[in-house]
Amino acid sequence: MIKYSIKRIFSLIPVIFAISIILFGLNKIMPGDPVNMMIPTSAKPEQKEQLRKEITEQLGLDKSLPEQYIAWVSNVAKGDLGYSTWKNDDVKNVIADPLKNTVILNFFVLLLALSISILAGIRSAIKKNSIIDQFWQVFSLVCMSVPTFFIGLCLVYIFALTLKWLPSNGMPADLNNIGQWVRYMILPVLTLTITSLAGTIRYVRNAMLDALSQDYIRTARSKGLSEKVVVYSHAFRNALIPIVTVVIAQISTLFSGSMITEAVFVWNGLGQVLLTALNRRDGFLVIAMNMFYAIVYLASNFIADITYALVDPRIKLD
Amino acid sequence: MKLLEINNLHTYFETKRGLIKAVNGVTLSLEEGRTLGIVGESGSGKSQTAMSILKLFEKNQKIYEGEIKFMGKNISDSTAKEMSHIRGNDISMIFQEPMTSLNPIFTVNRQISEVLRLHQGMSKKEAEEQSIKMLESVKIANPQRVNKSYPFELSGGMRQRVMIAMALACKPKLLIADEPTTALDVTIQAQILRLMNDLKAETGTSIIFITHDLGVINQMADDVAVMYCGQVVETAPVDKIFQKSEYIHPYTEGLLTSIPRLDSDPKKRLDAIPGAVPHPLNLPKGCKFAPRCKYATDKCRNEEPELKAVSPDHNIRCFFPVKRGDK
Amino acid sequence: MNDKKKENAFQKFGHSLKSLFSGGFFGRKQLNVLEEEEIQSPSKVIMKNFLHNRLAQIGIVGFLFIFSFTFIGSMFYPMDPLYTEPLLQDIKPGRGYLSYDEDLNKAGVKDIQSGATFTIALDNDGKVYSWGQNLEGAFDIPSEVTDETIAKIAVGDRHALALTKNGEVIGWGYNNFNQDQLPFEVKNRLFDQKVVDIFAGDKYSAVLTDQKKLYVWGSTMTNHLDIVPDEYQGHIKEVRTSTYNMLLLLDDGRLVPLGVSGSPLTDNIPKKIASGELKVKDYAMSFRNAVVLDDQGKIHVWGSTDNGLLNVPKIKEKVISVAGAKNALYAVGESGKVYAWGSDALKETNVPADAKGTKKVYASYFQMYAVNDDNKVIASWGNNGYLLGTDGTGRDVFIRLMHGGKVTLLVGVIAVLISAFIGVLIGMVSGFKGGWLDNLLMRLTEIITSIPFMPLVITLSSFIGTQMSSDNKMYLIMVILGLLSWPPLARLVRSQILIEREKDFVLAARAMGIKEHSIVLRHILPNVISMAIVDMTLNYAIMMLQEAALSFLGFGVQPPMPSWGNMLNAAQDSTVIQYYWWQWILPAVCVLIAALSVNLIGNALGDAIDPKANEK
Repeated sequence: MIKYSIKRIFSLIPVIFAISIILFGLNKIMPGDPVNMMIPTSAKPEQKEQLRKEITEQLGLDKSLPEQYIAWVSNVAKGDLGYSTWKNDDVKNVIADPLKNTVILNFFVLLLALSISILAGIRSAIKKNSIIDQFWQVFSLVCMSVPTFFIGLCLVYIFALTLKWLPSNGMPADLNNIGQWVRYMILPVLTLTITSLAGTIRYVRNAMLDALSQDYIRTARSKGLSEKVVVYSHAFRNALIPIVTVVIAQISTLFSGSMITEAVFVWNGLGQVLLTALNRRDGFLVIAMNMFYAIVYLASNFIADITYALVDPRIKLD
Repeated sequence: MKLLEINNLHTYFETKRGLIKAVNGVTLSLEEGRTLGIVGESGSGKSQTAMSILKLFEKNQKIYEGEIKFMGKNISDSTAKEMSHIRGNDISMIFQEPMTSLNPIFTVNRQISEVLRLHQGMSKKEAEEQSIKMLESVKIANPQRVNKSYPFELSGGMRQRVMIAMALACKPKLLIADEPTTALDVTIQAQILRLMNDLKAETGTSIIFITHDLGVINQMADDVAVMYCGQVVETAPVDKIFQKSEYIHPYTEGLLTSIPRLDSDPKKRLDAIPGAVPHPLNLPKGCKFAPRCKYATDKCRNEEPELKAVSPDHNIRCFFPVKRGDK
Repeated sequence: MNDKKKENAFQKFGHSLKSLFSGGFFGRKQLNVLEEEEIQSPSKVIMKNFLHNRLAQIGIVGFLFIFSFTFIGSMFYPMDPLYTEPLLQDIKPGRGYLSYDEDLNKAGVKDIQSGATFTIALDNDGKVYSWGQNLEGAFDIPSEVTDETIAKIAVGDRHALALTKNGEVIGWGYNNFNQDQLPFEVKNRLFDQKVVDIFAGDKYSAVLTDQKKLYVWGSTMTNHLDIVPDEYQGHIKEVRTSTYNMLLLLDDGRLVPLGVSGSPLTDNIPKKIASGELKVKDYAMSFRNAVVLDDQGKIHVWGSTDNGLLNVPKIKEKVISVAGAKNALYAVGESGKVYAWGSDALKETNVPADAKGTKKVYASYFQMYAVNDDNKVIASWGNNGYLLGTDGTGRDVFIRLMHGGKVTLLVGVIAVLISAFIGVLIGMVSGFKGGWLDNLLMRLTEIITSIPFMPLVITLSSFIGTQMSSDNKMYLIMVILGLLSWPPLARLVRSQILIEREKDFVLAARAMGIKEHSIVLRHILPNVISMAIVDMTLNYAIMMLQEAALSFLGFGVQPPMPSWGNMLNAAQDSTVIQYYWWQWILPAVCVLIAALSVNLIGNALGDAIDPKANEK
């Protein structure tokens, strides 16, 4: 197990290296001069030159590219993600809160989407071609074809603006008030859940259908097992293997996908930070965000691999 | 006493293109302690007859007519609950594909114990012990180890032994074996057949043995039923089919002459039955075999023959049964 | 089975639903089972399976609809991307602005004046009519007005006034600047005067009294129209209104401007007219231009060069009257012919043939009416309304949907082509060559998939595309989307090749000395092509959605070039979501229809190529 994990981690190293180069390259093609942004407009012209020099040195921009890259990588490895010119603070401080908000949002989405899609997917598979099945089929097809933000806008239109049950966007004013959190989270969570349901229901359904069509299901029935045991124990346990891996691998998609929803609901998450950072030309912040998303992707894939090996006895770990 | 009696059984599939009459008026019976071999080409309805007994149906499949009497009780309209009591307990079944018929993510122990705990109410531990005993009884060399294994760790023959052990775990009255050896190597095939015969002698379980291989029938069966297009065309004790019978169905004759024999003339071509099994949605009007039958007359093409006794234990569905000596 | 009956009922329902989907309107005849199973070439079978799939048919029809709407429709409705019309912002869907009330002709027309989307008319019996689209209540004539005999009407862009026979002024409609009610100061001045005429412009109103004094109120902060110089007061004979100016005809024959000065309209008044040397018989104003008809039947035009309003057509006859809409001017000749010039963006100069025999043209904003000698309306032209409303800058949503769709569909196609080309190429090279090259390419694929799509696309679009023109930005989006979306296809192609290489026939062919590559290529190419087609189709839907999302966030196609995505950008404002549904629901629905159709086609293609997947 440990050996397998280590092997997997080692195989990721070249990928991480390449990604870091790409991200560093992004930083370099960024338009606008970050130094200029940091010079206060109130500074006098003769002061400006001095300030420019100082800031350039401070940011290490006077060194050669490889040197800058090495400095950047070693800083990142130390947990220093750079300096945000927008907030005048360390990037890691800037993204701490939004990271928490995004994680909270996505946690509930994952929970909801997973439970609904497993229930609905199994139901669809058992009652193949029934009304329920066809409803979910149409539902997922439509969800796959509708822009995420449109679902969000429709929910805002109905529940916030017309019925006035829920706030249309924003964050709770009192961060310790759970009731407020719930009120502000319902719509974004619902939006993201609906979007991610489209794929997962289909996936669960197909995995279940695949499992149910196997010979061992007939064997299980011939043993006199009740339909419940056949479906939930024999079939679902087998279907779970592909489902688990796909769902875990999907976490990263969820994170980057929540960006648009965060924009619609002005949710102070990582997506909002990235959008603002882009508008403010805050290079380090942008790079840090992209890096974060890439790390989430790699980590979730890694976890998916390990889980796959854990749940499927057929995969030998060594 | 008759263990199983099937009367005029009709099992159909509802499809987009129409009703597929997979089992179309099958009548069979099985005495306790005997082995009934059902033989026929693929698509003749032999597997579907077996599935009908346990009601292991697809969503679009059901019994339209007829009755299945098991130990004198009609089980053709049993509820799901009643059926699950019979399955695996009174009647159990083994299948053709040992590679895929076992659940890949459960251990052998779990899969055998499951039946024991369900039908015999055993505890986990008792079931485990019994499971090892069952594995021993099917002549598995290292039952403790195999018991803990996953199916993918076992060979095809081993898996089929595990299947048999599982099927016999509750000492069923009837074992249905649906081409249990078709997918196996010839040597393994012989071992499995011998094992089944031994177990039958030991336990007295009746067997329905389904195969397309007349050679296997000869080795295993006491009685034979020949099926064609969802119907039984001939029933007889096995020796009557292979040797003594005076009369025989032209289809059975065709099957027999298409087997290569050690004593046949090597220069002579084997007689294969011409043509193919008709499509189940496009069955001929009269005798189902008429289009492929060299003896067919206009009567055969227009009227359907009934299953008629030519001697007390020998029935043939044909207007003009072939007399053996004629050849 | 206890629930057998229930199950059956469900099954039957399912069957009827299924038969709904599986029937065809390509005139499929019921084939015999055996006929159907006749051996056909695989591509033919795929085509047949595909075309007989009801969902595929729906998809094809949906896509053809979207395609013809955007590509063919946009040919018939050209669009000026830079056009804006502040007065027509956020107009809700509706047409028939020009369908005048026929009853008006019974008593004869006394006056017709239109606002931005509606028209109010007065007949000779003093009865008031209205038609067109209601805007801020300006269309709803209050009961005080319908009960009274009305002497004069005046219509602004979003409000209206009526003057009763008794000299009472009643206003209605948009009232944010109190333009509907006579303010206290004006009322005070009127204690010894009688109102003889009323006027209305963009959110302001005015009255002219029997002492020839003019009082203006309403939105006068920017145009200063409320400041009427003392030297004019008491001499004002006639008044014409426009957004920022009024032209007053004084009783000494001089024509003087009021309001914002320093424009060609106020500064370029011909001297003869400004001095009163030329006798003004009739005059009219457009937004920044004016036309004067002298007693010789000749016209004089001045003002801004916008919309070609100074390019007066040649008129060989005597002119009997003139009129001015917001962006066009009109002159009526002796013969009853209407001469029109200026902007034709809302068909203002598109005078219909039935306008022959016109005596007078009534024009104020965008709707024009021609009246003959009998005071009957004989023709109307101009803006007849918007099928799907207007956006926040007064542009027709219907037309922008067509042109925006063209952009969205095109961006998707190019992106998909780029992605498919790279995907197939890399997949094939990787699958065939193997070894270090395969390793390298697969690493590359992994790297591209590791950096989440949306954040990277947005980052790239914003980093590279800052200084780009609207056109180049569109190309950039195509390329970025294409360059980042090929990995799944590459993997698919590669794995397909690897599977195929292991198959028995390849081994057999190899044993016979046939080159492995050529045999694999021959067998695999149809597979790869069909896979690529399915992938491209499904990917196409995704690309359209990505474009929409990008542009929604403001990182995609940049305005003024429309795309369905950037039309949705307006919906970031909750006022728009709540009150102007047509501005965000319609483009989103278009994206939905397009993506859904493409997904249906893609799914059906996938099923047709791999029927086993369908049987599951």
